[in-house]
Amino acid sequence: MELEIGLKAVGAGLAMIGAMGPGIGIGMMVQGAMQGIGRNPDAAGQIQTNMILGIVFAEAVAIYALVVALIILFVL
Amino acid sequence: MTTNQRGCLTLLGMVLFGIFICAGIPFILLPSSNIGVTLPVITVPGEPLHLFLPIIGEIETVNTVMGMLLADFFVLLFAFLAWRASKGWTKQVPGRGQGAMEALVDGLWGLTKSMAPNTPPVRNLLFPLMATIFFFLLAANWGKLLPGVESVGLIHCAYEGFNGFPRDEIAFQNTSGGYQLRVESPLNAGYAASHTSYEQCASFKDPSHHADYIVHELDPWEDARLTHVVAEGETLETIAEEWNAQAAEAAEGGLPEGDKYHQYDGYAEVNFTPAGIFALNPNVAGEAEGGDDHGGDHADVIVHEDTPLVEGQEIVIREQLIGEDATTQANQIYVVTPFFRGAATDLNLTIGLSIISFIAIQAFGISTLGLNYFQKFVNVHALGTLSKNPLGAIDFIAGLFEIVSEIGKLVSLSFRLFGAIFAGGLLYAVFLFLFGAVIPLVILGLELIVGGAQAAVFSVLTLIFCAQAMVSHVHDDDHGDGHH
Repeated sequence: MELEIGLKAVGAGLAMIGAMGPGIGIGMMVQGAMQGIGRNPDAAGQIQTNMILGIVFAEAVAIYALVVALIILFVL
Repeated sequence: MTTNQRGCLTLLGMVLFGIFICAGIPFILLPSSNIGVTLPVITVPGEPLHLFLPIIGEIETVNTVMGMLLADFFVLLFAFLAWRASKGWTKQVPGRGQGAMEALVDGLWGLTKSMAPNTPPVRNLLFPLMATIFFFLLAANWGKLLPGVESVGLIHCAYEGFNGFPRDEIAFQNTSGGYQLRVESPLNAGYAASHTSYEQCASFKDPSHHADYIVHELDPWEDARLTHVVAEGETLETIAEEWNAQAAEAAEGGLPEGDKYHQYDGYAEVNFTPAGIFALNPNVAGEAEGGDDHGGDHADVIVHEDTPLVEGQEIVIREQLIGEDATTQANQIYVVTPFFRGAATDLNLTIGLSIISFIAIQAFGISTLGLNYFQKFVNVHALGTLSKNPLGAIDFIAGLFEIVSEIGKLVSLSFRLFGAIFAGGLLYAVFLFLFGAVIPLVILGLELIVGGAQAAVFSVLTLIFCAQAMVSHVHDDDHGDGHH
């Protein structure tokens, strides 16, 4: 029983490795957006909207990892 | 004083404040006033709730459904206020309420216009759908943060596999009937409930259904934690004998009168052993043999059953009996099912909502493009012009992948919302459990942002997907064929 709980915790931790990719991706996305705004400050509004959309799509992947971790911890 | 010195002082103040908040409140302040923070029951599905309502009678529901009704109430209240504000629209200078409503709706309409063409279906159907989803999710996600939501609810026996706490009755101005979970120490994550403990707990409320588990013998001290102040010359053996004698005396005296005790036949047998008491007090100090030569150096005395103990120290005879061992109703293991839980913490709501927006996407696509909409998935046009444009094969195969990504929309919309809101609540619960006060407020602020962002994201994505579905994928070059 205790081994089972421990393995669940390890599994949830491993599942959260999936948050690494989106983290890198969001960083690169914001970098690109900042550079774009720096070059063309007039387009800031449009760039920001699209950046947030892109971030949301990348973040979804991290949230899948999170959901998997939550399911391992609280459902299985 | 130089700026550096002032900075150092500020830093010192901040560190002291941090220590006070992180250690003082949860570990000293709250326990000393008999308040502890419980770790709530964390389950992914909504918790079932049996309610007795005044007019409707008994209903069986789920607390996330109650949360959804709460959100509905807020949306309707908002709509009512907006309607009332709109009655003054004939005035030349708009009132404050009207201004706020107009600014809000105008912002949403501006967003819609920037992402979708300004056509009648967008104006009349897509914008209301998107705005409704936004307001509903905003109400659901922010309503979840109200005080009492996800914390006040029905107290009931903990099912197997849950962690719970014993309960205390709250007496307020000589009226009772309310209960709260009892947490004696900080960072107490609760006691694990087993099948036996659940049945035993339920038997107090409903003896006929759990007859095998009814407790017939009351503990002489009603499950309380027992401590003993050592008198001169006492040993572990004499202490155990003394307490056993007390238990026997209580058993002879018989049960007190009262409704509370009618289910018991008598007192349970209690047997304290010196070894058991020593196990609870491994650091108990024994009196050194041969006088007081060693002074206060008791640590290296090995305590046997008959070693005289140092006078005046307090030792624990027995910890509180909880769960399976407990014989009173209060010390069974209980959990709280809150009346309201955030609606978006239930996958049923998020998947249902994303099915609505999925159907809306298909409906807008088909109503605008007709059968041509399905060319997005099975690109017949590209196959037909294969002889002229061999690269159209790629279009065809890419179209097949669109089917997968269309289903992916369903999954991503629902799981994003569920994950963000559920994890937010979880984070808040863990921070509250660890820090007790003040610092969780930061998480509450974060929750406000996340809740608002997720509501906006869900509605904006619905908007964008619908707008994309209305754009034709077929390059309209068929008409050119006849001329060339």
